Amino acid sequence: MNELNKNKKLAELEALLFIYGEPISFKKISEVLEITEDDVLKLVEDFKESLEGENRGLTLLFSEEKIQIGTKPEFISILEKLIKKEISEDLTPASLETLALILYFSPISRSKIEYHRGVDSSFILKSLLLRGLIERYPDPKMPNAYLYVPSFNLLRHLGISKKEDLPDYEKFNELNKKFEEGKLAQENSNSLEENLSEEEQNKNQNEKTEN
Amino acid sequence: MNNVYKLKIFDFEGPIEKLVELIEDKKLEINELSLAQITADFLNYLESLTSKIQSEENKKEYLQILSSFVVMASRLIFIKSKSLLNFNLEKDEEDEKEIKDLEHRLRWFKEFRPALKIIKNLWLKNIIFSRSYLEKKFLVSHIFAPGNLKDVSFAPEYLNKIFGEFEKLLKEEKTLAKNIISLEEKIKSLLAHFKLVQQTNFSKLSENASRGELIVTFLAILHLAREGLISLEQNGYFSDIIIKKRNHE
Repeated sequence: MNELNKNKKLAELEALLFIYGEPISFKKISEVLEITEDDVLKLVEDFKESLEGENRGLTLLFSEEKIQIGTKPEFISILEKLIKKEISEDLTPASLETLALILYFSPISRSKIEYHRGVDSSFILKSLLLRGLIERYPDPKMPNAYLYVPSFNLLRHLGISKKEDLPDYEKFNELNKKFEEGKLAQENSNSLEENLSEEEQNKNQNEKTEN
Repeated sequence: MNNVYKLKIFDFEGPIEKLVELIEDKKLEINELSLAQITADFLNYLESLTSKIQSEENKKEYLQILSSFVVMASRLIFIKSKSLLNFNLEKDEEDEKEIKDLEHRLRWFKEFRPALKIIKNLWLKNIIFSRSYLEKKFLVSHIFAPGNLKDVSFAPEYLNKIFGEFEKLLKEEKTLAKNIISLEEKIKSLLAHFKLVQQTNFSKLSENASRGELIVTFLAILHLAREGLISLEQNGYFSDIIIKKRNHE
């Protein structure tokens, strides 16, 4: 894309995102704007930068190869002035646990969520799906299992552009990795102990037979 | 009503988070000993949950969730009894592994717990607004508000189209109705048939029958055979079924 063409495409992208409203895939953008997916990525990056200035009220949301245009999170104040009401609704403890796991570690399976919460989570997942706060897709590695991811709706409710923007996102993922490695090491040392105790048992038995 | 239950059923933390909370409340380290110490607290918590089972309707869902808490409670009681009796029995590998795994999960959650607070604080504090797909609204308003209302010459054509749509629905209803054969009717007609003949076979009964009728006929003869009104014979796999009337003394 040359400079002239690029400006035109930037304007087209802005118009498309406005018309479409809902999350749109990079693939779809490349079809509509008739540019390659690589060019879409570059274009989106430039568009995102152009929105960063203080004189712009819009922002981009990202998740799972899709983007959506929305207002910058701080402008909730405008809505509250319009409807003259403060928006508030609490998350239940079960929702909070489940959403936090999905936000920080998605894509994540139900079994992993249940392992960390210690409780059957099918009902809470169903409820969160119905409320449009999470989405799921079939796990490519496991038949009949799903992977859960945050929805654009959830990101918007939290006022973040993408899950990676969550505070301490890196920290918790590092921590998770460390723990998983630790667990592996623990299991290995356990099996070592098992081997040892077997040897001891053998020794004991030998002693007995000698006696 | 449904909403009330949903709020309640998700009103409590999972067993892992609860345990971490109990341990932290007592400022204990996560190990076998502290697990033994908080067993009573956890059992109290479990009791407060079970007292929440109110509506019969959702009991099943409650119980399914509660069962996980019961499993956790039984694990704690085991750990507690072990510490009380100072078991020096042979180590059970499975038990040891399970306790180690539980400790691992608790340590993990303890580290992760601040994330819950982060989400709680972000929730609805600032919201990004977006719009729904424009085209749907645009198209709908276009159909319902034709630009020039002075000119209504388009009306007959559109009305015809609309009635055409309704007619399609009506036709569909008729064809569906034709195909419905009730099992009861079929049984009655078969009984009437057997007043005239002593013996017949399935292929004769289902001659020219639609797939649906075939199935209903088959169900009907099964029903009659069970009632002992007819007997069924078949000489080989997939061969014709011979149907004989049973004469009762």
